[in-house]
Amino acid sequence: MCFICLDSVSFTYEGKKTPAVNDVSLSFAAGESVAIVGLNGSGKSTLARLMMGLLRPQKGKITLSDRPIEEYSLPEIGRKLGFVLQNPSLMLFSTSVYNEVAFGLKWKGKKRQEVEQICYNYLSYFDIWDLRDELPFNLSQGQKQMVVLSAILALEPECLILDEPTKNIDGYRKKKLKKLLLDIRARGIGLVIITHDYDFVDGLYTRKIYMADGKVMADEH
Amino acid sequence: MNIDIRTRLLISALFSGMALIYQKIEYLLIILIFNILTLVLFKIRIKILFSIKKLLYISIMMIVIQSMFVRTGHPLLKMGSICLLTDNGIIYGAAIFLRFIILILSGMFILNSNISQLTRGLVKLGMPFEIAFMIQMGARFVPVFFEEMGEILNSIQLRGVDLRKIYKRKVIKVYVSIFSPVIYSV
Ligand SMILES: Nc1ncnc2c1ncn2[C@@H]1O[C@H](COP(=O)(O)OP(=O)(O)O)[C@@H](O)[C@H]1O
Ligand SMILES: [Mg+2]
Repeated sequence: MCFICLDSVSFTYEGKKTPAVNDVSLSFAAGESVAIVGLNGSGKSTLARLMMGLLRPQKGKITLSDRPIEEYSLPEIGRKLGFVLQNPSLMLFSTSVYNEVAFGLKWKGKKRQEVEQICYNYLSYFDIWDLRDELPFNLSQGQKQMVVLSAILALEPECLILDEPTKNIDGYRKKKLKKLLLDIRARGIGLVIITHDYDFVDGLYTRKIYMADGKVMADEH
Repeated sequence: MNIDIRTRLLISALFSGMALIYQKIEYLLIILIFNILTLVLFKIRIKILFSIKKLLYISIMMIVIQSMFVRTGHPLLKMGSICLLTDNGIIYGAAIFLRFIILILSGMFILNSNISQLTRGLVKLGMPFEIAFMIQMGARFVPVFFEEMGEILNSIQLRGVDLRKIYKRKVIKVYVSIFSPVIYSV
C-alpha cells in the first residue's frame, strides 16, 4: 500500500537520446517526508512532473492512491498533490496577489469569508499581506515564490512537491518557510522536497533520495 | 533538398495567395494537389503540427453558422423554421477546411528552413534588416510562448479548474488570464 508508486518508470524527452528518468522504481507512503537531491540535469524535475501526471512515462507505471495516474484529471491530482515549479513565474496568472491565493479556494466552492480568512493567514504569515493588491508578475522572484506557496498551501493538498523552493528566497523567509514546512509535516501532510540546499532540508526529511543521470543512486531511510 | 530561401518564400506566398483568392472547391482541390506535389518534389518532410480533429471541428462550426445565417442553398436539415444544414453550408465548410490545409502546407516550405536563413532571405529580397531582425526575434519567442502557455494552463488546472468541463464563456476568461502573464513574462 503506497500513496505514490513508480514502477520501473522511464521518460525520454522528444529528440533526446538519453532518458531524463531511467528505470526508476520508488514508493512514497502517505505523509512521508522525502528529500530528493542530485546535480543539475539528473532528472529531479522530470521525476516531479511524472509524479504530477504532467508527463506520461514511455515505460513503467505510476499510481496515485493505488489508481493509475492517467485515470486522474489534473484538477483531481491537484486536490491530492500540491506542486510548486522551479520557476514560480509560470504558476501565476491572476490580477492581484490576493486573487492568486483566492483562485483555487473559490473554485473549491469556499465561502467568501472563509476565503478571506485563509488568504489573510497565509499572506500575513509570509509578510506579504501588504502586497495583496499588487500584480503578481511585478514582484521579485522570491516574493512570487511566497505567493505561489500560499496559493498551493491554501488548498491543503495531501502531499506537497516542491521543486527547489529556496532558490530565490532570503534567509529570513527561508527560516519561516522551514518552520511552516515542519508544521505541515506535523499535520501529517507528505513532503517531497527537491533541492541543493542541504542546510534548508536538514531536519525536514526522514528519507533522502540521491539521483544521478536519471537513476536513483541511493535511497536512505 | 537545399532550396534557396527566396524560392521557398515565393512558392509559399504563391500557394497561400491562391488559397485566399479562390473560393470554389474544385479550384482549392487542384491547388491542394499541386501544393502536395510540390512538397513531394522538393522532398520536404511534412510535420503534423496541427490537429485534424480541431480543424474538422472548426469546419463543422462554419457549416452550421453558414447554414443558419446565410439564406442561400437548399436546406437539408431543419429544426422548426431554422435551417441547421444547407448544401451551401457544407460547401462553405469544406472550402474553409481545404484553405486551412493549403495555408498550413504552404507554411511547410518555410518552416523547414531555419529562422536565420529565413531572415537572410528576406533581407536579400529587399526587406530592411531591422524588420527582418524583428521577425527573427518574434519567431524565437513562439516556442517559448507555447511552452509557457502550457505551463500556466497546467497550473490553472492543478488548482482545481477542469478545462474540459467548464462552459465555453468561462474558457475564454481563463484563456485571457493565461495570455496576460505569458505576454508580461516575455
Ligand atoms: N523540456 C525539456 N526538453 C528536453 N529536454 C529536457 C527538458 N527538460 C529537461 N530536459 C533534460 O532532461 C534532463 C533532466 O532534466 P531535469 O529533470 O530538469 O533535471 P534536474 O531538475 O535534476 O536539474 C536534462 O538532461 C535536461 O537537459
Ligand atoms: Mg530541476
